[in-house]
Amino acid sequence: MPRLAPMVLMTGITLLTIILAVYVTGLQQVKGHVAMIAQNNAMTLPKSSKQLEITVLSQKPPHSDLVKQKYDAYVSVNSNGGYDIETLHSSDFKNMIAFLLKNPGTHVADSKTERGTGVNIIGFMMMFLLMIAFSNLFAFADDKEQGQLHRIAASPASFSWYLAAHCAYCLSFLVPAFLMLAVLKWCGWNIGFSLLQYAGLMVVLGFLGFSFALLLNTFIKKPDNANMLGNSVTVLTSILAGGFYSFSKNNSILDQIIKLLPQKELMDFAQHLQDGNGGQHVWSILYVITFALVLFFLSCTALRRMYVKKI
Amino acid sequence: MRRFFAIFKMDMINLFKSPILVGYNTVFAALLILIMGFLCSGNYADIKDAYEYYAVSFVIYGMLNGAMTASNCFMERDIKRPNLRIIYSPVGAFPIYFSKILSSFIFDYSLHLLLMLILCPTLHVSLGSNPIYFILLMAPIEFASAALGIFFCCIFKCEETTSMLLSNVISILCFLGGTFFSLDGMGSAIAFASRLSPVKWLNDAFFALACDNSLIYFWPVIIGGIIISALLVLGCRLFFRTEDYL
Amino acid sequence: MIQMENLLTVKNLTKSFKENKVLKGISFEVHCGEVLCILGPNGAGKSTTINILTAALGSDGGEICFKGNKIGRKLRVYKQSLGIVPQDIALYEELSAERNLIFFASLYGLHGAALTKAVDEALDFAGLGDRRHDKVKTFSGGMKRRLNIACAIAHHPELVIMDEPTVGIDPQSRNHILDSIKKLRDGGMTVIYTTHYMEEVETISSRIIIMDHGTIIAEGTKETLKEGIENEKRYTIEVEENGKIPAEDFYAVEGVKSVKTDGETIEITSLKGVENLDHIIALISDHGEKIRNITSEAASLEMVFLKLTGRKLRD
Repeated sequence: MPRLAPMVLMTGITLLTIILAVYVTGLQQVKGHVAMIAQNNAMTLPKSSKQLEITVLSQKPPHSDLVKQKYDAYVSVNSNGGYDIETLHSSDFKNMIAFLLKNPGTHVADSKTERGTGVNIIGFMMMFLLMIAFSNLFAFADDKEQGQLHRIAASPASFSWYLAAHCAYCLSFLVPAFLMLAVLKWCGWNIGFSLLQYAGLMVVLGFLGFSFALLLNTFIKKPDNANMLGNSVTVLTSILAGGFYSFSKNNSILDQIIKLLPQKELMDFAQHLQDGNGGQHVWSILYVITFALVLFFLSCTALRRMYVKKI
Repeated sequence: MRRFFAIFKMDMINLFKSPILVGYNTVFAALLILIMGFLCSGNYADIKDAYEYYAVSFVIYGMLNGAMTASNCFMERDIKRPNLRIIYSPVGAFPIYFSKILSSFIFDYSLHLLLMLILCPTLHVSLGSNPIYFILLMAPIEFASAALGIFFCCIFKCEETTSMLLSNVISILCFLGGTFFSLDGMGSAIAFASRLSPVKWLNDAFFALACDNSLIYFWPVIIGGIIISALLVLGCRLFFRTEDYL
Repeated sequence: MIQMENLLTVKNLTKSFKENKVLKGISFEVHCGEVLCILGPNGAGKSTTINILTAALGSDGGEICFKGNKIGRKLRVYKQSLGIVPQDIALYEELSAERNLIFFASLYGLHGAALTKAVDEALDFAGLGDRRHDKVKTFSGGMKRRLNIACAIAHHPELVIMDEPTVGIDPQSRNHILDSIKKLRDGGMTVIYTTHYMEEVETISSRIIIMDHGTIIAEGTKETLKEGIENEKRYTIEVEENGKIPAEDFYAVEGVKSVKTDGETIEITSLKGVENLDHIIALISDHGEKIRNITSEAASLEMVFLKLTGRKLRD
């Protein structure tokens, strides 16, 4: 089957992202990676700590390593015994590095709220679960492109059940990811949420992906174009919603725009659920479900107009 | 030669007539750079550095996604049927796949150059003291990507399978290579995994040019790109069969 | 009988797809200036034969010679002399008729004034002169089919191969296409034409090859193929109920050669000179059957196929 390889690959990627999310959450996140330039080995240099990772080098690395964030700062000891710090980060960060170098054992509080395991897992999986829906709606896309949809609509079979079957098929591809979570839990890993909570969140995500894919495939003639556009939008919006990485921008306009994204609301709900007050923020998940239902309703209406006309 | 040029011209027309392909290689890429640069500007004191990072990273991402452009112009359903006539004509097999590689290469290269031409001055992104090296280094990568797309089509004989596979593989490699965000700070294991991705090596090469004006990776990448391109074209010759078009 | 020069000779062509033997060693010749129709039901191997003749598909065995030379040795020369009309519409829908013709004709080495002239002639041939600048996607099915043919003959090939070129179009467009093929034949072009429509074969063929299950079961002109059955006629009788009349009773009627019952339809092949229809009708009535419809036909290619294979062409 020519479609089997991409399906298997997509599922494999989703499973790997779950493992990656669990691993990343378990990592102790240091505040910064510093390259200490020291020509003289006899000098007493600060050592790495839980807050600061220090790599001692004899030569200053290239500027590109700062841009690529391989290192957060280059530090050299000046003639007065103090530290010259070169960084592309803000002055607050520079001051923090200077403080940690002088006070190695000190703990600096995090300005950002840490994301827990569950939120990380859902965030990492989000983009791939949405993309799975696109790749698995190929059967509907083929039916529409090749004209089979006319036959189906003209037959006594229920069009609603036909769409429901496609929905069930797309959602069935979430099972491997869910099973992976179950296996990790069984092996003793902390996966953040309970399996039931994951089931709920994944079904909502899956339905959102299916509805969006159905909408694009309904209105766009060629499945290739629908896929390309859908995957592009999914990648962009998932990143904007902070699936992989939390962005903090003090820009109210941008924040309002991002808040309209269903993925953002889902991430917020997941965070509240992890904090134990999901019940008070149930409107977030209801927004996501409503958003998906609206997309689904629009698709159904359009399909009925195109294929099922009442005489 | 005249016949090859006729096929090449037709392929270029078909590519530029596709708004989705043109948009994907310009608008989508620009949006990614602008959005990611803006969102991640909190990591840098000067927003210019954020744009620097994402402009270079996403141009590489865009270049690699050129494989999808190539596979689309080779075996996309609506293109496949008229392309069948080319198989029947006396042009031979080589112009059939090679013109697709060449046209996809020029299409992607020209659009990415246009993108850089617009974004770099606007966002104050530096491509090095002599940007010509950066531009030259893009060429073998663009060509190899196009050849990769055609080669996969020759193997799988299906554009949809090729596109789906390639887009997933490229996304993983780019993710590992640090295109979306740097993985160097996520522990030694992930940093090691990141180094396995060829995208990481490309990032190093292009950043060395753009930020350090260093040509240390220039010739290895150019030569590597040419060798890979030659191998992929040879692969197309070995695996392409006219009956796959029927 | 005048020995016609062979343009194409096919010997013992075989082809299998996995376990399925699609062509089982077919041999035939194509004479210069003729319209050779390859007739057969779906799955007979017509399209496979065509794909091998057009060098798009390799064969497992056998030999094809064009003007006495094996095509494998001078493939480019062979392809230069070919024009192909594929079964599917092979046109760039986003381009105009003219642009399609210019492109495809240029693949055969035409350029400059020769190209322009060839394109104009092809458009006139297809009757699309006034639509030359319109995009193909705005054309009707029949117009697309005509342009599909025009793209194959623009470079004046010696041999044109048409794989079911009239599929899915209205009778008017079909007649236009058939008239065009007659014009090609009259102009000296050789045509290989595959179809499963008897009427087309009756109209345009010089010679006919009948294929079934990967073999050639008959070859000849319309007249020679019908020779075997020219003294036969066929009655098709539709009755209201089935199964009541045993076949032996029909055979008892003078002149009846074969009887086939298919539900409410009885097909009787009878000798031409014998007037036995009234006996047959009486027999049916005696068995209490009511007749709905009776048709009678003289020797046809459909009958030839039925006789050779025991089934209808479209079964």
